[in-house]
Amino acid sequence: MSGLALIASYPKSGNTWLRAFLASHLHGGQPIDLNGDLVRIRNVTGRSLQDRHAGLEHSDLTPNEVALLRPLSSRRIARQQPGLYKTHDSNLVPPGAREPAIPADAIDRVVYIVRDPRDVAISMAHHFGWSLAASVDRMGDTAFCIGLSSPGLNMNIEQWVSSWSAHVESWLDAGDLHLLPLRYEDLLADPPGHFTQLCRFLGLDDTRHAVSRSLEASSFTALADQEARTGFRERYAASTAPFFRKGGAGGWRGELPPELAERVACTHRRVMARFAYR
Amino acid sequence: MSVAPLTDGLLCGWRIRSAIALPELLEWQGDDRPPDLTVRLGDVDEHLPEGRTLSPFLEIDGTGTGLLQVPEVGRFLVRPSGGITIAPQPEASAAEIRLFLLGSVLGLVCHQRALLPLHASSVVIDGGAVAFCGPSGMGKSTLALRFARRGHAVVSDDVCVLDSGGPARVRPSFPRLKLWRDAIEDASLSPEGLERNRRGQEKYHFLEPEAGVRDSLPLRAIFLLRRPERGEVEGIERLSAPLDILAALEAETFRLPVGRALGTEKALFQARTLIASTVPVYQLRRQPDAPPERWLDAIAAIVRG
Repeated sequence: MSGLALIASYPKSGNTWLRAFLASHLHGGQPIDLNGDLVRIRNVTGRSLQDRHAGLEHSDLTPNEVALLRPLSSRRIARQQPGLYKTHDSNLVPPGAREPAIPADAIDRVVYIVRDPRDVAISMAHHFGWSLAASVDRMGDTAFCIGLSSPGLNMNIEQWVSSWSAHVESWLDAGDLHLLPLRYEDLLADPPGHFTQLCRFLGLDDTRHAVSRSLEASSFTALADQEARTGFRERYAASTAPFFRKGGAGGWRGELPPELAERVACTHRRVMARFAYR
Repeated sequence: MSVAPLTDGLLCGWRIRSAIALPELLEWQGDDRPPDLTVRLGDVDEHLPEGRTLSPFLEIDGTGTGLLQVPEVGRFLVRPSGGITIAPQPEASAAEIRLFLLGSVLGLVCHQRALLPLHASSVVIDGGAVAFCGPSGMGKSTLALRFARRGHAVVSDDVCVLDSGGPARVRPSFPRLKLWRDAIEDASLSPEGLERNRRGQEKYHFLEPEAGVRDSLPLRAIFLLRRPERGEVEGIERLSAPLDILAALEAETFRLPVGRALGTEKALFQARTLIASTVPVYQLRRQPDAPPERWLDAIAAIVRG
């Protein structure tokens, strides 16, 4: 593998599930420690990784400077530390920059996970401690960023996420990427089938026995039980629910007020139709 | 309009003459030697003619000259002779310019002089310097602030400069700490009236002007701040394996690749070996968001032996 192999998604779309699967799969399907083993698939926007490759501290830079710096650092990481990484970055050019944070020439391949935005809205509200309405607003906000440091240091650096629709299209319509799109709902409906596809795409062991072992180690129950016992380092401080909350599809039907569901459908109609989210 | 010339300052034992005010520094009170470092404002070209890119914002050439470019702050040309020329961006604030002059540029100056800069905040305990190292967000500056509030002088923030030769001594930089709003408020202080690290940012420059240190100090101890890994409990443990200590000190070297590029690795290795063999190095494992107060007495007690 040369360059960055990315597990990319809008936040709360199943990225951590894939990381948990891969963390186990890379170690022969062994059980994983949530707080120790997920670093096998590191966040490419982790602060210490980025600071090291940039040769300075991002906490001393403005968001514009970070946007200018990130493509340069991405190329360095791709060259000096290639491998599997997760990201919530969009594949868009942030304001003030000239290219996306992770330019195509730094990328080896991309797994892109897409999830029904109405389920994402609920999950994001719990994760960030927002109201459902605020969550829906952010998903339509083309200026949405995460990784901001205020009032204290964020362990990730700034990521230009943009709106849910723009995020999805920026990756899936890039044209110059070796890309595997996966629907979260399909992963849930047929884990063996789709995780086998994932393994094949990443050049990993795709035998049935190996895939099912790793799936077991990263099952929702296994992850949620472990979080209940030991906590999860990546859980956001302001969260109003466990990180591994439900892990299902279609929960929005019971939890999202109809007017908000309608607002999501209205804002993201075109992209939702592409993925048959009705 | 003529302005009164700025008085020379003291930075890590050097006499520094600067065209911009450096309120972080103590006044030079030493002999009448010519300045070791001179800061001027002037034009700086976009690239060094023979330079190579060391990191995205830094070029170095064969003579050891460095060029740091921070898009919204300016260009800093740093010559091994000690001549520093700054071409600020028009919108850059004085604090932003000083942030990089007294940070990245200071690190470059150390590497040009083959001095070991540790990425550490340090304070005076029991007549010596005690350094706190560790990843961003682990509480280096916060611990230093808590000690400062108890009356301990601040020796350095980001860059803790070791003197050459033995025994291991620290050259004090300046009593300024870079702190996020939450760390300031947790210490029952207010960021009101403090300069911002960068425009719009909730990180501030906290200055203890009365708490500066003039002369070099013995390095009394190093604490490596770490998050407890699985199965580990919070606590302080002295490292005993020299190779572990050397590896940790290498990882905590400020701008390590700059030293490599300037060919000072041997001197840096000797400085780290000296520390590893003569200075106790501890691992302080704590949750980064836990209150720092409970560790202060333990740290002071360990240092005082």
